[in-house]
Amino acid sequence: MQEACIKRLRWRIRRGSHELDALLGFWLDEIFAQTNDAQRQAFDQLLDVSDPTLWEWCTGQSRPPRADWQAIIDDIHTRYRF
Amino acid sequence: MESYKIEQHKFDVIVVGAGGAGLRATFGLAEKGLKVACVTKVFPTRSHTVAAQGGIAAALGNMGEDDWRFHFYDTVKGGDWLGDQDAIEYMCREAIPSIYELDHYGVPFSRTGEGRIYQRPFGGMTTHYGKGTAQRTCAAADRTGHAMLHTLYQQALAHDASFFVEYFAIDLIFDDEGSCRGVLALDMSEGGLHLFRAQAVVLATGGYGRAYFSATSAHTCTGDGGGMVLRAGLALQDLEFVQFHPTGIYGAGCLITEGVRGEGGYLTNADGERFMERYAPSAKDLASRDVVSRAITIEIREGRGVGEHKDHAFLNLMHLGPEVIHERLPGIAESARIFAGVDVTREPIPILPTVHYNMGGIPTNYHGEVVQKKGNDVDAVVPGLFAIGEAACVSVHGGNRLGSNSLLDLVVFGRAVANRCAELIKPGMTQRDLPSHALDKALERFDGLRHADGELPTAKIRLDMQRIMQSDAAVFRTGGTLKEGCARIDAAHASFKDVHVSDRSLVWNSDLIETLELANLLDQAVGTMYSAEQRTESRGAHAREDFPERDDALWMQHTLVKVDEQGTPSFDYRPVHMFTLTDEVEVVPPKKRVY
Repeated sequence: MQEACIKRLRWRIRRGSHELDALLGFWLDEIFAQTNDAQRQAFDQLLDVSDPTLWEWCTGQSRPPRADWQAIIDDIHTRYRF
Repeated sequence: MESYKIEQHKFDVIVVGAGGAGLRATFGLAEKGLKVACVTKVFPTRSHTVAAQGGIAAALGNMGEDDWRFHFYDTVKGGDWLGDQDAIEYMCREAIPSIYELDHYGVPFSRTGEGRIYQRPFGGMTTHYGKGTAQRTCAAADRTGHAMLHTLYQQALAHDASFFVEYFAIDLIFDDEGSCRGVLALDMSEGGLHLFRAQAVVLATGGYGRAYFSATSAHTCTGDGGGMVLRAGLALQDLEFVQFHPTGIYGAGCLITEGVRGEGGYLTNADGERFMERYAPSAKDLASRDVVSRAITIEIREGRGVGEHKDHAFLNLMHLGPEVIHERLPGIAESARIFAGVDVTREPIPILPTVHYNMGGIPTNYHGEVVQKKGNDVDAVVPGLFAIGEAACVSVHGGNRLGSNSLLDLVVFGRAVANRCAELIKPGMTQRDLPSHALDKALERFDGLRHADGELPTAKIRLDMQRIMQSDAAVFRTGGTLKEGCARIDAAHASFKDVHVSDRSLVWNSDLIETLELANLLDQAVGTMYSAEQRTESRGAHAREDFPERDDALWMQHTLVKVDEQGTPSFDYRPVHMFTLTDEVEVVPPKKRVY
């Protein structure tokens, strides 16, 4: 992933809620470095999803339509510590 | 200084910010036939309004008797008689058509069995002037904020409003006569500077919750409009009134909506006692937010806090049963699990009052026009400048905002600004040339920060500021700690001269943007701390231990604070509007506030 795209991710993890800021920020800060390009692309695309839908996925109220997105959500779920 | 190429745009009106207020204004202005552009640093449906789950108040009377005059009374009392009663009348009366308009535009409000808009109880909302409990709050399930943003954004696009998304507003541009003529912004994706010229600028930039360490606000809530206004040499109003939401999750700061208590959730202390019964015998857990936040703080101080450090309280919803929790309060159980590690069907949620809302902001009248005190004129309009939503201080919330009055504020005053601009502004009118030096100051500041080469990272100064605000401008305040707080926030403000920005580029430069945001936060942090220090009374969310009573003779007035480039504050005052717009409602004279 190009430098500019990574910098754009840093801005786009800014969400409308403190909760999503925390969860998506966690992925970028703590998990991003260990991921491959495909996972990073998936994360980039995930950030286009609306906040309430992301929140439903993060809280397990519903599941994303893509396995790679679910993997990101699962990562956040298992590794995020309040 | 580098010479920057600046792309120019001309519109009738520029709206800065695309939350609920900004989008309602943008759509309304476009609908009135004005050429309007909305400039926003985040994508519209990702504005902080999206986090507003609770709902929006209006005395529709769908669930029993209600009257906008009851709503008016509740709002005046909730604000502890600091609210301007003409503006409150306007908001509560216009609430009703504003909601029906939203319904008509397509906001999917939850319905009753008979198909009417469902309304739930919320803190501080009563009938018959405090005697009964009102069901006044309309909601679109738990997505009210998002549903509003989505609907208003679609409406704005349908009416040909232009959007400049991921553009960061740097500074307002004024002419030599003091009229606001536009805004300078950075296109974050391309790195270009843009001058948006207009007959009027509407600031809908939200609050500055991120000045505090523990806040329910999203990271994006950095009060950019307030910062720009202070830099323009104008005053902000009532910054000392910062609302703490009673139920932020302990440690994480995530919000547990008041809707939980509306549905029957209640607070307990270490003895398992429902302590709100002592503090607010009739409203109990649904007393207004400042009252509940202070009650929790007192319980903790007196040794009845829960947990290992006895430093928080519990919010119980086990008795509601899993069905009610999942149906009426979706997401709450999961939020508590992720951010507190508790199963709400078996255990209470650990909570603590957390910074949630700025009652203060850019002073306006009920048309949304920015006002200042000029000589003897206490309502002098600043030509070409409007402010709405949390960025503004109309003042409808006075010293303390009631839950579900913020979404209402956004919609009513977003709409009011559109109506006012349609009266004042002719589409396509020629705009006078700007003086050649109009941009100099803004560009110089921007270039200076872009190349800032000091010793301190932005994040370090921000954290210092946040900790100072958290400890010295808290739920309870006292003269000594406020004086210390003033000295400490001065030092934090001064340290900004030594900020270091590591990235010199202009494209997706979060470091630079966060530095520009920090400048906005710092000025308002200074304004807040000093405003709290000089107000020697307790009113609404401003609770002074050394001055525990409200002092109407001295302090029934709005604080006006300016903060200069050195971070030095200066004060003036405006009277509270103790008059209404019409004779359909009477002024509520000040009395002791009990719930």
